[in-house]
Amino acid sequence: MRYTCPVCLYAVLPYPPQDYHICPCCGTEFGNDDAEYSYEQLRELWIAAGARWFFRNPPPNWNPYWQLINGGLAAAVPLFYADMRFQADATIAVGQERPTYDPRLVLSSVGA
Amino acid sequence: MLKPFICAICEKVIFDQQIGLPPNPNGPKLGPPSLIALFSKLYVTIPHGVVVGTPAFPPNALAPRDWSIYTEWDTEPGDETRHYVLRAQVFYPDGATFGGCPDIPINVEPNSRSQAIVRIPAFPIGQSGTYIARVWVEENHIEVVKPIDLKIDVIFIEQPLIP
Repeated sequence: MRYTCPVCLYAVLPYPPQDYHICPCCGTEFGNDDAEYSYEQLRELWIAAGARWFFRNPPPNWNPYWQLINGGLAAAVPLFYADMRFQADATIAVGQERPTYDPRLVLSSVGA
Repeated sequence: MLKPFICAICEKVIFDQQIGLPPNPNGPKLGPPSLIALFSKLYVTIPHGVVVGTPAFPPNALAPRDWSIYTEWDTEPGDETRHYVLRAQVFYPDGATFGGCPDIPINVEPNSRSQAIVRIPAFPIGQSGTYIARVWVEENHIEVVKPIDLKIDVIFIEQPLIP
């Protein structure tokens, strides 16, 4: 049985978030920290402190912001940038019968 | 064996809805796709005075914005009985791995190309440089189609001082 931390959304807690268990990701002690602050407040504090892994080493390729997005809380991810835009090279339609472009060009452009 | 027909990175993939096409002959079907905003560059404007690599713009920064890797594959007779899985991985410019791309089963129907789309809800922006989105196909955890690398340049722009 796996549980999800209601603060940082780490999804593989081996125990329920209660009874003074501590989340290895954000360090929340359930029954103590969450008695004083709401989950949302604890999350904001964790993010403001850099969203660092709490106990020993994080899982490989772990990313706290990815964890929040996958948990459905993309809005909690800080916007580190002032603006962001893709440079759209083209918008194309791909037909099963009559492709409107030469797919070899796409493949050659990606080195295939 | 599958052969790549298209591999492309775009913001969004939308499908015409048609009746009577695979994979479900009895219900609404996905028709031809349209790839919206193919892209190869991503411009990120850094707030004035913010130093990249600091907590204000950490190396693990993400932009919570959807993008997709669209793939389409030519098939051969017999492929419909195989259990192909599209795998994807994104690499930072320094070679570090950005985790989390889901594995996508490739449904093969006779006499048609197969599509598989990796939808990714965020883009890593912690480093400037060339990111690699790599896709390949496995069957029973064995690579059966060699990796195809798609490059995306992330370019930082410093926001001018606004008086």
